[in-house]
Amino acid sequence: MGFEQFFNISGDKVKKYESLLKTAKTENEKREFESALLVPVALPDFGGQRPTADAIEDLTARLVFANEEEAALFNRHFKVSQYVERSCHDLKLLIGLLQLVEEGKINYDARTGAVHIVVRETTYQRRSKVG
Amino acid sequence: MLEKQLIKDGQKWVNENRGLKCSNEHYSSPRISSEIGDCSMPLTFDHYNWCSLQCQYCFAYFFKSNNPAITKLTLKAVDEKALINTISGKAKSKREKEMYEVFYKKKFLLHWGGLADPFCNFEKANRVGYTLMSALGEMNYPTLFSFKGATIFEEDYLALFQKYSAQKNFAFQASIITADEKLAKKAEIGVPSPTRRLEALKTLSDMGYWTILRLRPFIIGVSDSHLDELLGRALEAGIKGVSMEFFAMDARVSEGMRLRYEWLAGIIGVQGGADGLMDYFKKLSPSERGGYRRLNRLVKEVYVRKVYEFCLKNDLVFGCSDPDFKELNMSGSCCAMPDNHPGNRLLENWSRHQLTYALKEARLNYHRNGVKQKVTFAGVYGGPEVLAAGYLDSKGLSQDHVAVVGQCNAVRQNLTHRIILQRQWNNLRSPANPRNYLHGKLMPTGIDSEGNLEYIYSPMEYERRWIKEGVDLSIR
Repeated sequence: MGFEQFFNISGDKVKKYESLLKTAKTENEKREFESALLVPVALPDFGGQRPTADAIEDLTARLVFANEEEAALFNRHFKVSQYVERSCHDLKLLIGLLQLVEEGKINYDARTGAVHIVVRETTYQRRSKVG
Repeated sequence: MLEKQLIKDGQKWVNENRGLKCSNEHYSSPRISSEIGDCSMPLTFDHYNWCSLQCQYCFAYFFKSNNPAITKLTLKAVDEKALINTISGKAKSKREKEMYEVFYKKKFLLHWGGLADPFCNFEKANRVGYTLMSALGEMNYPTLFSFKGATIFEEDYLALFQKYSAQKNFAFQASIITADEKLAKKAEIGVPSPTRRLEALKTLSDMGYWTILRLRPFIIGVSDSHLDELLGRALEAGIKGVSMEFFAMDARVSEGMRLRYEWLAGIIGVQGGADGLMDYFKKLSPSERGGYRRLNRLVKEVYVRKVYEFCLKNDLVFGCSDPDFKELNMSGSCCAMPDNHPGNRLLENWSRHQLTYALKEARLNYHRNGVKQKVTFAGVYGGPEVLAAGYLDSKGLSQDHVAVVGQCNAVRQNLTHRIILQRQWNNLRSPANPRNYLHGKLMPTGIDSEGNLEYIYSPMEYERRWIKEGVDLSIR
């Protein structure tokens, strides 16, 4: 019942205002009564846990490039919007490349940053080289 | 001096636009209302981009005069043939198809008269609306008109509504802010008198339609002086409900709006002109609600109680679109559309996936069962498995919302109304957050199983006092 107690003060204000309203002769007087009596009370703060992420934020990531050349390279391949803030939403190329990494068709060395494409030769190709 | 200038300017607008024909350009409507969080009828429609009437308190004037995208005053009408085709399932464009799937196919209630009047002088000269109204009648499409204009008195319009009166797919709400004819004439230039509007309500009620007194905006200092008279006369006109909302003052002011505020201050009885009015609203409006200043509930209580008790006594549906006292709504629609309408069940076809409905249910749960109901995001707007509302999960339709303005394209194209609402729901600094918007009627208690804030219905002192004084708060 904490909220009921919190708003108890309000009831007295309204009662007093109603009785004053009857004595007011002009609209000006009524507005003055309101301004003097019926000022809103600030709400208590919420001290509990607050949610931190929502659906769009889950889909959003911020990229920070090491230098301008890298940023320019990215800009050449992805349509980065300059409207309000830099962003792009068509990431098909990036997703395609990452899927190749997942499938083992591209090798990436996280330590050196080296990337190379894995070429899987058929038995015929390999034997042809030997021959 | 100022009054004369405003009235002269208003009359000039009304006279110059009498008989004005539309250009060849088309206006895009219906759209989804940005008030989607607590609106039961977010499918809002205007068939012209401007209104010929000159109400000095008009919020549409305010929005439009602050919109930098509007650079010229060209009268445009919707493409009525394309719209009729879309509603009847012959949609062509991607948006039309989506609107059909989400709204028209389900015969979702169309709210006609959001930012302009459906029966203003533009309709008299162009009659685009008449064609649409006939088609809606033929299709038995549920439609609510919000109006003030006099074109509804034209013979063919009356004949049209008479024709579909047995079907009852239409409902009407007339906006009247005072019964004082002289004051109304000053505040609403070019608008039929309150008596004439009450006549319109009477005519439509006599035909058997659901009619509502739209007591909006309720301006303290204007609407309170003849309130009893207005309610009594509206009852005689056969209304079934009253919907009220108090005048709110935006902190942003255009040049034209400042003049209007200057003048309104004089009528309301605030000293100091526009600045005085601004100070009055700033002092009495909860800061949690941001720059769109709405007076706090203490100022409104006397008037809300009067209208609520009037509705109780006369078996009318009480609707309150104001965030304060929204819990008192007797149906889940704050426009005072009924929960049940046996005359035509399609008029019940408005959304329950919104805050007004949830708040009304929470009030009932407290006053009938003594339960302080918890209110969750999924409970109000439906979880992923409940997509009944449909429009909440459309990426295309969310582009109508004001929240997309200023967003980068990547974010904008991924937004849905559900995401916009979820952000507001979980951001306790947002003025649209339930705690702030309803100013404490719902208070956060923690996090629910889906990671969203959970709120609880907070009974207030006025509820206990009203009950003690014999007011029934358990009315559905």
